[in-house]
Amino acid sequence: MKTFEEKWTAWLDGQLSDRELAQFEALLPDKAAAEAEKTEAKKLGAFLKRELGARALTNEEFFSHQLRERIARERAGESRKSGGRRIEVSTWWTIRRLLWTGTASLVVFLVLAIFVMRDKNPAEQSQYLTQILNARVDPVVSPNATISMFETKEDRVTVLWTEGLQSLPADYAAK
Amino acid sequence: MQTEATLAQADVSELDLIRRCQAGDTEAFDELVTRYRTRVFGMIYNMIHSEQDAWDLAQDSFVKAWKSIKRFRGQSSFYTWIYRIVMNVTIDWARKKKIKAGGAEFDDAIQLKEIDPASKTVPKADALPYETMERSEIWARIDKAIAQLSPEHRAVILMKEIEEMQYHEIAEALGCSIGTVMSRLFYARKKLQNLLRDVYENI
Amino acid sequence: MARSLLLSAAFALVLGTATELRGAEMVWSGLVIAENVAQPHPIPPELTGIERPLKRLFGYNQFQVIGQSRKALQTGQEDWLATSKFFGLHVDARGESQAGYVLNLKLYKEKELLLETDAKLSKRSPLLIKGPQVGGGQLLLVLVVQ
Repeated sequence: MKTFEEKWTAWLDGQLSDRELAQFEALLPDKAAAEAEKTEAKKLGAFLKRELGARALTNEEFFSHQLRERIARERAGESRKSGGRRIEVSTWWTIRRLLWTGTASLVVFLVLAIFVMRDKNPAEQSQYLTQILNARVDPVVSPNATISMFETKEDRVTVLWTEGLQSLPADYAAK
Repeated sequence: MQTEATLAQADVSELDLIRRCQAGDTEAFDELVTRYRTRVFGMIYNMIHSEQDAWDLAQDSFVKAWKSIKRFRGQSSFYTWIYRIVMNVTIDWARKKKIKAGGAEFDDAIQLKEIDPASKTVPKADALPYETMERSEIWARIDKAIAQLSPEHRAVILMKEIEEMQYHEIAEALGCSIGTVMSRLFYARKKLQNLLRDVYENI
Repeated sequence: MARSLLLSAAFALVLGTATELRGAEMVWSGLVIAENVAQPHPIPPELTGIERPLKRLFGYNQFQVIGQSRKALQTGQEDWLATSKFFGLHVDARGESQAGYVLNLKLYKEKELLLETDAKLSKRSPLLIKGPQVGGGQLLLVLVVQ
């Protein structure tokens, strides 16, 4: 604790150690006035607790019901995505298809190697994915945002992935 | 009154619920929602004073909690963890709405000039006849006073005075230092004392 | 025989120079809202080429283009804007290399700058940027050299 404000708050909340308490109270120009302030702050706290502490959620069960529906929709969306992929994996790659695809890939590779790759600068091959050079978010607007980036060679896309940007209402999806 | 044993049991029961949630058990999550929905809603409502928006933001907070429950490691209480989500959602929303403090954003730097902490208490205004003040009037005064605080100051005063959270819990929920929590409490209390003294002194 | 040789030589010359010729290339920039819905609309034609990575990487089943711009790059120094009602994606091309275009991208929400990035956009590799959550969905930025 360094600032007067921090010490005052801790004193008011009874969070100072004995030594800190003695030191702090020695600094107070008018202890009686300070004690009166403390009493008043405690009155304020009790008042807020009494008046605001009982804000009720009307129709609690409907709240939970609505939330359950929403989570169920989220889960349905996720399982559709992963289930579809599972089906794709389990039904497409038969042994015959694997062999056929392997042979075709080899042929394609040879063709590319002979007729296409010879014309290309080797340096360019390593550059075929988009590169993120740097990225930043406004820390005032989005103090909790994080950025990461990755490339998927399979799809040949580069992704800049942000988390913690301020969420916006649906109105912002307008064209 | 709960004994230590029952509190420990409650903690164990909550950890068990969390583990089940992490395994995808929505009924366990439903139980956690039931435990916290009123407090979450109350906290958000006290922050933004709109029942419909508080409802929506409370829903958003729980959905985010569900989506990120696997990242909960038990290093803090679940209560603090969910409050972090609630505060992020609510403060983001409040900032977007630009709920300002009486024309100027309530700011510690501004207040430093206006409040001399070492000065004697400002003399009270003449008491108004609050013996007959209706509850709704009291709430309106409180809401108006709290609305003059910035979202961050609102959050600390509500978490301290209503939720009775410790400094470190508030700091964790808001993603700031304990010193910042204490400093914001100082200024928020001073501001509310100035605005509400005539109400709470005479009730 | 000679005619065949001549034709073959001419053909080889055309093929060879074709690889060197580079006309103006189009860069498509899009602001896309991705959502999960019960009955998704078909993917917009601008995104059909990257439908698979879009769905796989972001986990959504419907994509709607809310703002777009298509710019032909002649000098590699052009700049342009793709806008929707509340968002603006400013793209400033700052040069071209064999590998692609160096771009500075700025995402605005009304007047607020949310995100800025510099990227080397490859002619063979789209750039996808995950933006903020919007309602129940997500704003994505897509840049593709067409």
